[in-house]
Amino acid sequence: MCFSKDDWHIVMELFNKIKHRNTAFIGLLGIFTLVSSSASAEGELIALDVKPNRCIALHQGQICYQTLRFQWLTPAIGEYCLYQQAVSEPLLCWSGKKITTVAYEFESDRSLAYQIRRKGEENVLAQAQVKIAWVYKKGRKSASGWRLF
Amino acid sequence: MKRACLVCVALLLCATQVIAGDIASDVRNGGSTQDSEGGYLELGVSLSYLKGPDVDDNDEGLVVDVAAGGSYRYRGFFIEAFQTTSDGVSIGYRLWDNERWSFDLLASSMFGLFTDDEDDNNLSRLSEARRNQKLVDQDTFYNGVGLRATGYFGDYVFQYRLVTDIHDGNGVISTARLGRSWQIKNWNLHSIISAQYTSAETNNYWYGISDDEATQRFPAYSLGSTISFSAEIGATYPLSEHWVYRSFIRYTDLTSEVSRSPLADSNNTTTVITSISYVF
Repeated sequence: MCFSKDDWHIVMELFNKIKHRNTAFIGLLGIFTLVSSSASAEGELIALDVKPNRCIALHQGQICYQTLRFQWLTPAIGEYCLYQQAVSEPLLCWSGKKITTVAYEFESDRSLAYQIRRKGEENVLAQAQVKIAWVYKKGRKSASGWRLF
Repeated sequence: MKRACLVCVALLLCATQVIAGDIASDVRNGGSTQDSEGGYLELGVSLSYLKGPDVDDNDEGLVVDVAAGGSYRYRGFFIEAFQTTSDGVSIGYRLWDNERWSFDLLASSMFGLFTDDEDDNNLSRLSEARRNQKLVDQDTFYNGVGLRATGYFGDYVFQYRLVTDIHDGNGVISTARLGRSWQIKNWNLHSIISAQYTSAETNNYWYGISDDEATQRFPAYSLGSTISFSAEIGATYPLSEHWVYRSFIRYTDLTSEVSRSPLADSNNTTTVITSISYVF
C-alpha cells in the first residue's frame, strides 16, 4: 500500500475525524473498519468523506438544504463513480485520481448514504452518510376525531 | 419532574417577552397542525424594539430581554406560550380535529400586566400625581376563555379565536388571522394578517377613564367596540439542532377611538423582535 502526499492528507483528515470520538476503542475500531472495508482488490485504500455530514432543518419533515463537500481516495487505475444510495444514475464519474473532491447541493427530507463504486458495478467500495436533524421534532401523532378525555 | 414542570410554567408566565401554538407557531410549522404529543421548551435572549400607544410606556425603545417559549401536548390537553404570539400563554383542550381543521377549547389565554393595587378603593384620598401614576400603571391583565378554530390549507393557516375575559369580566375579543409560510433553503419565512374585534368593555378596561378615576391630565373618556388590523412578517433559521434564530416585525393599526384616549399617544403599535433561543 503506497500513498502520495495528497492521499495522506485525505487519510489524516479521516483519521482526525475518527480521533475526535469519545474513546480510543471506538477510534481504533473506526480505523480498522475504514481500512478493512475500503481496500480495493489490489490492496489500495479507497475512502470517502463528506463535510458537513449533518443537515439541520427547522421542523421534522421539511426538506433540508446543505452544500456538501465530498472528498475521496481512489486508486490511480480504474473508473469510479459517486452514487446516492438507491439512485441508479451516478452523481459523478471519474478516472483514477483525476478528481478527489466535489461540492454538491444536498436537498432531502431524510438521511442519505453516498457510495463510491466502480463504474457499472454494484459493489460498494466506500460509503459516507449525511444525517438529517431537526430542531422541532414531531412526537407521537395523536388520533384525529372527537375527544372525550 | 413535578418541580421541573412548575419551573417551566413559571418561566413561561414570568417571561416579560413571551415571544408567540396559535397561528404564530402553526404558520412557522409550514402550515401543519400541531397534532403530536409531547413538546419543547426554549429559552434565549431577545433584542426588541417596541413602540406602543400607551402614554409613559417604559418598555418603549430598544430592550434586551429574556425570550421564553414552549408548548406541551398530552391527550388533547395543551399549554402554549409561543415566541411571537399575540395571545400570551394559552391552556386548553383540543376538542376535535381532522387533517384540515382543529377546534380547541381555550380554558385560559393570558396576557397583559396584573397589578394588585391596594389604593383602588381610596381614589378620592390620593394626590393628583398618584392618581395619574395609577392610571398609567393600571392593570392590563386579560384572561380569556373561549374557542379557537384553525384551518390548514397547504402553506396557509387560518385561525379564528373568540374569548371572553374571566379575570374581571372585561369583555370579548374576537380575532381572525390568515398566515402563510415559505421555506427558502433552510430559512422559514412567514406572514400573518389579522383583524380583531375588541368589545367596548375591553377597550374601556385598557383605554377608558371613569369619572372616579379622571384627573386634570387624564380626563374621563369612554370607548365603544373597535376593529383593528395588524400585519406581521418574520423569519426563523435553525443555527444548529438546538439553537434557533428568529426575527419578526408586527404593525398593528389601532382605531382613532383608541388613539383619542388620554391614555394613548399614537394610533399604532410596532414590535420588532430578534432572538436567539436554545430549544430543549
